[in-house]
Amino acid sequence: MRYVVFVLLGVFGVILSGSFTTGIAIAGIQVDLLLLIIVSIALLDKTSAPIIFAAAAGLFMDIMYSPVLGVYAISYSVAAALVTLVFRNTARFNFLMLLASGAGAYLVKELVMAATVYILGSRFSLLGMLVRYILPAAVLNGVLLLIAYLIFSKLYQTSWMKPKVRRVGDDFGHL
Amino acid sequence: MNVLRNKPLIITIVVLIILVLLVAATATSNSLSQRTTVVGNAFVPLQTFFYQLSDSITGAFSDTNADYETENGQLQHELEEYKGRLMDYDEVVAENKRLSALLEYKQNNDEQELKVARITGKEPSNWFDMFTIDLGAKDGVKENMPVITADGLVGRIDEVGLNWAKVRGIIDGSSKVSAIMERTRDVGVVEGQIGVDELSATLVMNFLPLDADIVEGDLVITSGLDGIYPKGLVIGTVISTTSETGGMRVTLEPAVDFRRLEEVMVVIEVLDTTQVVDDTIADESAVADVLPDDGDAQDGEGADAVPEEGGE
Repeated sequence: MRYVVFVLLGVFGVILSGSFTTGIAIAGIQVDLLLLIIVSIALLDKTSAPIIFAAAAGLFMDIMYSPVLGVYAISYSVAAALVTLVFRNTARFNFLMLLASGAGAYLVKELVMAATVYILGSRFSLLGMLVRYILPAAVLNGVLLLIAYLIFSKLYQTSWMKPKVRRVGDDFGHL
Repeated sequence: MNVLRNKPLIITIVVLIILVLLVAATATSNSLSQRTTVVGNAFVPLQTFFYQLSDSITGAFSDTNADYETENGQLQHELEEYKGRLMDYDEVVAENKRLSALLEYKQNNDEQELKVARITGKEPSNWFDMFTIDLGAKDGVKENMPVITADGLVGRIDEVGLNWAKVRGIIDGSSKVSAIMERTRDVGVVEGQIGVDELSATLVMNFLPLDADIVEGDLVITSGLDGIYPKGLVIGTVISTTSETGGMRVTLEPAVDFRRLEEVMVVIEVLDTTQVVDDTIADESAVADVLPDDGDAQDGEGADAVPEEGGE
């Protein structure tokens, strides 16, 4: 059941990202619905599943919208991996931690995308992009992560959503 | 050793290696991404539904906000009901207007075989300017076909699925269009830009000669030299010029309003009008060879072709 929920979240997250959230964007600053889902799962799941989920959902996003496969998949995977690794030992989150993790994950995702797009040959002003789009959207997504986290924490209270094996000893180890 | 026991880190590294290889493979060749379009085929109806839903929701919000403050009680309820009807009517009228413009363009451009497509989704990031349409391979759509509106050039088909296609807009950062200034006939390359202001998307025309006589308001059209876009499609108008080493840099305002795109036309085929003219000339020569050199005979034939006014 847990994996069915992952698949449904991935499909609806991607499709709504390309239809609904682009429609409600204000001057290019928009909600990254898929990132909110990925970060919420990464904060709550404490396993490797969110990284694989981020890669799969990102790949689906690439198939649907991107000109090159892997651009979204890499960005979301890196963001999910960082959140998973940084907060692996944290059980409870306060307002600031959620805000920072949402904004930070968005920032990382956008910077990875910028690097990929640059390698693919496009040129742009990174400072301009940061000031104009990335930072305002990072704050917006950080705030919205508070709501997303609350919803997903309710979801994770159900028995079928909890991972069978939580992080213990050898599963994570230390860096 | 501890690093080897860090499962998420190992999974991340493996996933990233696979994805980097995937990016490298699809950036150089389109064959792999073409194979994945089958996944997109299955989700197009769902995506279309949500795209239209978001359109109607955003439309409802923008139209009703002002009235909540001024109306009250029952009147407000009634007003909302009428507004709902009016909004539907306005939506139909607006759609009718857009489709009429497309139809008019279609009728005035017989040499182009066009198919009208609806936009079903938009690329959500600020790094690419791509969108999906509801026409695909089964409708005869192929890669690199130009996409236009009645106002001008929109972009080209980037990837084709069975019932959908991805369109790369000319404002995309990696888009390049061979263009010509309509007035001065100077040739250059129009490129899209990443990070331009969403509210006023601009294009840049490079590789123009330094002595080019370009003024604000000059029209820029496709040159047809790139082999993708047919000659004469309107790209935009000049809004500013700057001289740089290596040539003049011209900023253009696109002819198409990319924020309000809802329907577009795919140029399925451009009939070669020069070929038609050549054929006509050849036919006329053949007829002239066959016919006796008698002006009366031709006049008589022409007179027969014109129906007599008022005749029975």
